[in-house]
Amino acid sequence: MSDSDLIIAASRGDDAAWELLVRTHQQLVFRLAYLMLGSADEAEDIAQETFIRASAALARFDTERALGPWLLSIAANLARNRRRSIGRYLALLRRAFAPEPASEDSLGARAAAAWESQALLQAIGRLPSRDREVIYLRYFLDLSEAETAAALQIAVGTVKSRLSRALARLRLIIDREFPALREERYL
Amino acid sequence: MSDQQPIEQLESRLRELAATLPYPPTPNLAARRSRRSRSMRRLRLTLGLLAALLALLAVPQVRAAVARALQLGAVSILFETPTPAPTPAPTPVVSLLDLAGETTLQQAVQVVPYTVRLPSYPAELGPPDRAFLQVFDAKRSMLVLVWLDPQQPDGIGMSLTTLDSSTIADKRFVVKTGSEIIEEVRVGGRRALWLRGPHFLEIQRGDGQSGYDLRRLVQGEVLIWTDGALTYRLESHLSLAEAIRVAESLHDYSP
Repeated sequence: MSDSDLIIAASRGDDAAWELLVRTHQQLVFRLAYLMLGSADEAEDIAQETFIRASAALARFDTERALGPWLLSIAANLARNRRRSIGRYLALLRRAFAPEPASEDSLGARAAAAWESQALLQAIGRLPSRDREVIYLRYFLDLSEAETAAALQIAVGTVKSRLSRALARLRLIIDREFPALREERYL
Repeated sequence: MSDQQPIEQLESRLRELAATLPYPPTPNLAARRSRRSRSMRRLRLTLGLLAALLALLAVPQVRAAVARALQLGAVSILFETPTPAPTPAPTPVVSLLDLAGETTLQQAVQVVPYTVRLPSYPAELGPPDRAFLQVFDAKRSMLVLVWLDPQQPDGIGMSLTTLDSSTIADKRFVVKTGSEIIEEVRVGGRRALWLRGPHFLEIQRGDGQSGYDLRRLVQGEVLIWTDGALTYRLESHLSLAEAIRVAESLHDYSP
């Protein structure tokens, strides 16, 4: 069954169809929220809220559209609001207490690679939120330009220009604040 | 240094990072079509933790053992003897602009129980661009005023934190540092402290508990001084002399 068949079934109360839709899309939704908020707990809350809202609005959803980008646009909105909310501070406190995820191997080249990844993530974190979001969607979630446009509710041309500005800014940030990263073989 | 490396290399590095990023496992969200109460439970738990001590903690990139202490207003300085650590500790970094409690200067002025003071130097500085007020309980709050850097989007030029030390119930802000980054100076004839170089800013837990509530890498220079019951913390990239001029230019703000 296609997404649109499942949507029609789910909007008529077919829980099995809904479950299938959630299973198909939950990873991307959760990962986008995780990238935007940096906390698995918060990401789970946002992802769950996304599906609750989607479920409530499903009957009105235009099945000609792709479901994934629509879900991501809901998740991005919720995550943006969370970032701005007073609850965000509480979440940061909570995150500071959370044990660091165990590293698989902190030795040698893997540690160096982990450091580079961490530094690059921090550099991305220094970008304005609009730049970060387009980078997350396009490179981290591997969405096409059209899907990215749908998720951000902007034109495809805007995705291209925003992405190009975001990369230019990211390169500046790396030059200015993460020079060690620039000296790595990658950049 | 070839500053203009191809964007394509950056793109491929981003894709490489994305492919190897260790995401947490995706929770199974299917079969849940209603709200659960987990968020509320966590909120209550966190509110419990907010009986927290505010602390400014500066540590060098090494693990360290506490040697002796120094006090300035709401800030305690714990000098530490650095000892080498096998790997740098993970460093959760939170930008000042991600702080919760964003408000306006006008609103903050109405809430805090003291007169907010703003620098009048440099003359072209103007009012802060962003204001954050974190109210921890009826008596404890922290006001952070941020002036953006006009040269870069979202870049921070300077920030001024005001702590009402008389309202920090049992403990104080703590700075832990190697003594090499800290210098005793004077602001308006009173003792002040000047911290040079990167260090971590932390809001530390109180009630004798270990650990911290918030951690942020401070890249700039920090001047800490007191005025009556208030403790001020100026974070900037200014020289010491300039930072002191800014500090000494504080005047009562009236909307």
